[in-house]
Amino acid sequence: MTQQPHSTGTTGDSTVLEAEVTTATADTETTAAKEIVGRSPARMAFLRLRRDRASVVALTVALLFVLAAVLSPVLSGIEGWGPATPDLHGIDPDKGNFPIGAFGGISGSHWLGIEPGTGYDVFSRLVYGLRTSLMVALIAALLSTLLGVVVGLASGYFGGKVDAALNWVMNIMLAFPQLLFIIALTPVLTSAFSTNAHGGTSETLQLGSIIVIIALFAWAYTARLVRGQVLSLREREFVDAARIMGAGWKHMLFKQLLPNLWAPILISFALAVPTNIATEAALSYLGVGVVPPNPDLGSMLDAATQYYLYDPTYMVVPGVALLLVVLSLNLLGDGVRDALDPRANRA
Amino acid sequence: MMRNKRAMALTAIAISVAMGATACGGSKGGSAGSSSDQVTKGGTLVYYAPSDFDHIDPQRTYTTQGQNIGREIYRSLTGWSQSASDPTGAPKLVGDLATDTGTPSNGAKTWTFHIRPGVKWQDGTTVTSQDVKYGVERSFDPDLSGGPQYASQWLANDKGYKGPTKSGDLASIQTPDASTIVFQLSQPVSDFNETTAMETFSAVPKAHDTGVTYDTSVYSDGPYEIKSYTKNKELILVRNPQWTKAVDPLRDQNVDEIDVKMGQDQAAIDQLMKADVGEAQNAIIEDPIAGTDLTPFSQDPTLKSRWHAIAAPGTNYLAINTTTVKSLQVRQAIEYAINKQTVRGAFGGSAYGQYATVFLPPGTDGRQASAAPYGTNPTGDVAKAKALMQQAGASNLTMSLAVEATPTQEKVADAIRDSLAQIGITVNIQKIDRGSYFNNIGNTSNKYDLIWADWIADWPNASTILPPLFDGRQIIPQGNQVFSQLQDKAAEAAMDKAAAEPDAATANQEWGALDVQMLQNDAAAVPLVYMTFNELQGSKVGGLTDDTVLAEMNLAHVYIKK
Repeated sequence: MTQQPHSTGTTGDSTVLEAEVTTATADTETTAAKEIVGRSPARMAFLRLRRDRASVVALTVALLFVLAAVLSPVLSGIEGWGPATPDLHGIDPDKGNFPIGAFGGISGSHWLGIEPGTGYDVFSRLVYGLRTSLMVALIAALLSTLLGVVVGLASGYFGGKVDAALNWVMNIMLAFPQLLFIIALTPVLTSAFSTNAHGGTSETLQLGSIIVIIALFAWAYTARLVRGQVLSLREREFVDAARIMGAGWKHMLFKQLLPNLWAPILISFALAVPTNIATEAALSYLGVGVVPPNPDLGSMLDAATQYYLYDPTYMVVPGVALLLVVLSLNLLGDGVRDALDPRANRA
Repeated sequence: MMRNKRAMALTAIAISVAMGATACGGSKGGSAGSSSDQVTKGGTLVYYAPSDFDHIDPQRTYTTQGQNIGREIYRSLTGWSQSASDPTGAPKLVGDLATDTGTPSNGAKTWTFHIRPGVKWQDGTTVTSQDVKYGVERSFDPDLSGGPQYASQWLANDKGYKGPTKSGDLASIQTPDASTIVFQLSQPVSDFNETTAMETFSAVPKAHDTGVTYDTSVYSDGPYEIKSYTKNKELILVRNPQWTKAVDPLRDQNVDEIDVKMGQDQAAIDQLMKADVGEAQNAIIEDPIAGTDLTPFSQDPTLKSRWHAIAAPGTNYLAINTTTVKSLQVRQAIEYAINKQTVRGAFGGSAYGQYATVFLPPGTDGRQASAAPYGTNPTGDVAKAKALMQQAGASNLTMSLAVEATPTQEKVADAIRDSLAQIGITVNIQKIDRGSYFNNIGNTSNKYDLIWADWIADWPNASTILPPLFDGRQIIPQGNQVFSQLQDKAAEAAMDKAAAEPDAATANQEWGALDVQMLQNDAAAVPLVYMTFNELQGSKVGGLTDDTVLAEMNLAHVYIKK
């Protein structure tokens, strides 16, 4: 976007917001000011984000991964292999089911090679695995953010005994040995809800329990953050003003406090997504997450550890993919934080 | 291959066949145990194991690894002797705890053994015939499950007997004096003295029996005693000072210590063994090389001198639970659908063994080598399988599959799952801890639909393969071996007929026919691969013999080179 020198508030959004950025707001009209109040901070943040080259690159990479994940059925359709369709001509059963050909069997029909052992197509498993990872991470982040915001708001605003009790719960959640607990809990949870007499658990159930478990251990961070913000906000004049005018707690929470909290909430959400992706991959790597043949980056890495000596390509592909997706989302999250809160010092 | 051997009674036939197999197989790659090396005393033998033993309690162990290490700690009445100077020679039956290989009388329904004088427990007390009697009686205790059932199968008047702690004395084992033991059998068993080579017929001192925890406190009358045993972690054996070479025709006591280190991933163990540095030079493995390593290792010329390929017949198979998969057509469809090529690939490829077409492994007399009830194509016949599923009116079935929780077996499970996905069967893989695998699948209440297992018959005679695995009358709730839980009266009658047949050739023919017939009519198990037993030793280990009875490297004469 090019910089517009000056404009009135009646033209397109971008110009209005440009004006906001480049000039002082003193001369804008009241109507436009209303519009600006509602939208301009986001726009400003977006512009700041755009100026950060690392963020733009991260956003592009992340978008590519998201696109690949969303389009996974289409992409694997174009390539011609499903995520759990063995290509038995692509592996050599006489020599231990290793892929035939160099670099893990990379070829025109298998773009990223063949999975040793099973003969599955790596590209197809990768894009489907990305879909699983991103879906789990996003839903878990939404859930944990939602829970965290509600608890944080309540804790910070009501104070007193409510705050003490909620804070106590948060402290417990934060102090919990998460990974150990998750490893122990997941099989129990999946088997408790399993209705299959033949030892199976549905994919929905597997994914559902992973989402719930990840969210369960992540909300306390958001809640802590929100609580802190609310504690400082509720002493501000506009809150006092609203209180004096007799506003109810619902109004106070959702109309007065929440709108001022979007920045920290968005930041914590943006940073929760890559963390969740890594957690989900770790769980699957440890064998308590997504169960093969359902594709997943973590379980691909787990399978690859048995073959890295003889087929390093198979380890590199999911490893690099995981690295890129987590790194790009993290950088993006950092960028979002800088953009929303430019005064904060970058650690 | 594997670890999971189900040892059987042996006869003289075993020796000849084993010899033949060894001779024509030429399987021994190395000469690490050749007699040109000077036998030295001292040192520590390291034994890398991916998991703990099933048991080392003599009455409960039933895997090659457990029995092999057990032989260093305790002695059974008879035993299989191998000479260190002929590491691939056939094992010979000799008296071990007994002075000789026993005396049959009353038409082989009564067997008398005399205990070797001078054999002592680790506390210096003398091993008596009462100790042997007590040991054999323990094998009847339902709480001490896991071991072979030969004693209860053959001893007379043992109905309802539940071991010495619950039922007291078993009358069909008599001990007229401290050095004589007499077994009264319910039927003539001409090769009973080969059954007594099994660990079940080892002595246990009543005063030191700790019941279900005896595994960790096994009392020694052999060359080594337990110094410490931390389950799933480490077992350390040290010299038993009371043992003397003069009264042991089978074993030496060369190394100071045997240190079994458990719990490392097999692939990691493989790399240690391959690198052959430091401690690994004094090490052995008794477990199969990981499927991912087998082909690269077998083609590595530097490993040739340390490679052991032991010629013992065995079948690697998939049992189908006939009580949960009731439709014969579905079972037959599974027989057709399994892709043995990828299954074998998961085990390591062609170095692992030949594709199985019938249940009896090659080397078994009477085996119908040309028969292939479900075709000879190792990739199976999916069209036929689909047709059978359609005939059965079955679609969208779901089955559980029990395998050991090891990377190799998980890949085997993947191959089976993908094979069966083609005919509309969804397979849920149940990974079971390796050390407790056979205890787990031997519990009939677990109701797995498909069960991976293997069977190594020391005596390549069908009578020690088919009845233990497919005779419905041998199903027991704990420690069960009939994983298919097959109930086929016609097959049982045929087994009885073949067992009673006096002419060996006719009997063998009947067994061979029954094998094929059961595959067709019952489809209770899918024979996957006939196994080869590939193992590795460190460069400083000497005196290992390839035991074709146990399908393991025998530790009787092992020593560490200086």
